Amino acid sequence: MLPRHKRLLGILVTLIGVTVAITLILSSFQDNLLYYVTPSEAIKKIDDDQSKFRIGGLVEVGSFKRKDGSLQSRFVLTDGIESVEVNYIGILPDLFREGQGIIVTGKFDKMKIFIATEVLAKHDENYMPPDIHALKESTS
Amino acid sequence: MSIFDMGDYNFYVWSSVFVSMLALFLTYFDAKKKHKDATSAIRNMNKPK
Amino acid sequence: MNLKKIYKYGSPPNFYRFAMKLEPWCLSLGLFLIAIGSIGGLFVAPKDYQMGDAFRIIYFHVPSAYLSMSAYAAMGIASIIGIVWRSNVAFAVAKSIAPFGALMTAVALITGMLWGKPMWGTAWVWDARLTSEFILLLLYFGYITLHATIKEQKKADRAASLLAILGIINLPIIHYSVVWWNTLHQASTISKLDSPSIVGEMLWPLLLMIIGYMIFFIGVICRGGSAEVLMREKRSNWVKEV
Repeated sequence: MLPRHKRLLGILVTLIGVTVAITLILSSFQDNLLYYVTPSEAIKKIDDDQSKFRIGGLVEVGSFKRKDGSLQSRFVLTDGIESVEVNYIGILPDLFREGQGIIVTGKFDKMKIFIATEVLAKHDENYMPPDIHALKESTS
Repeated sequence: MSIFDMGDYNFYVWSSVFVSMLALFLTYFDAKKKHKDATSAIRNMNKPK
Repeated sequence: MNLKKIYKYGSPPNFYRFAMKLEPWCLSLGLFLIAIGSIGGLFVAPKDYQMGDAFRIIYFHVPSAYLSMSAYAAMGIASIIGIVWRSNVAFAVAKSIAPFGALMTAVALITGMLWGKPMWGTAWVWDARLTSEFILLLLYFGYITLHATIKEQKKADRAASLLAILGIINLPIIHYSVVWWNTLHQASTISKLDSPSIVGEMLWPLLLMIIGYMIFFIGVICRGGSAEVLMREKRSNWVKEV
């Protein structure tokens, strides 16, 4: 074995070792690495003593209500299986609309309504001009 | 032209254009300066004494 | 593989001559593509149906993010070559990539914030994608700091290269973070080459920008790498001629 082969082998072995270690660490922290949970998962811990956490889901079409002239809004977040009612006072991001993916931070109150302190809009990876979007909507 | 009239987005879009172009400019001139420094250092070293 | 040939072309004077010849071509072609891509992205491409004009930040965010990772991959590979084949040219190239990569990472983070603020409603969150890209910036800083603080060149090369090589593991983590974990950041648009999730009239400026950044990057490394090679070889004879 030439010295340079030894060095190459050394690098490869170290890299593999560290990769395995990092994979193990990341998989054991899996839950902490998730930025949000789905409404179905959130429902399960509705009665737990909670600290703030995040729920990500779609705003149910037709569920959005806001009093005129106030910043208080109510809407339902859903993942198609379960849904959570959300109450939020504040400015909504520009991408907020019904059917949109949204991430809310907050906790449940006694009425099992999720009181959000922050609302973020999640965008998907699709980009298209309005006319093509309209075309897609009408054909589907 | 509509692109200069994006309302609230004007700031965000044009700042990101500015930051990107500034970075390209900086990174090239940094490399160029290093090259200049290296050649002048070598010229000084090889000056007949 | 003919090792002798590789050694011959990887020798400092050959690298220097080759890089200096290549550099002006890369710079002009790269800047030309970036100019066309910018005009296409800012003026020609249509508005997005949801994000409107704010979507145009993609033409500056994605190329810098892409380059921050490709530059790191290049730096890692150059470091491996440097350590395994004891190649001074490879070390020099790796070292000259670091400031470029760090700057591209910073630009990716800043343009991302400028995009996130109006669209998501926040400039920064610690989700898996943003955090791993931030770690990339720290890796670049670590590499640069090691080179700056260790005086003896050979030791500095070895220490910094080892860090660069270990950091390669972060690249797949950045790329797959949006798949492996729930993140606020959206999934990739153009990594699925068969069916990119973007219409053609929005796609071509983006591709031009990415290719332009890449070619520009090669040009910058030709210049920066040559400078580094010169400094390392300042006592050898071939240098006197340049």
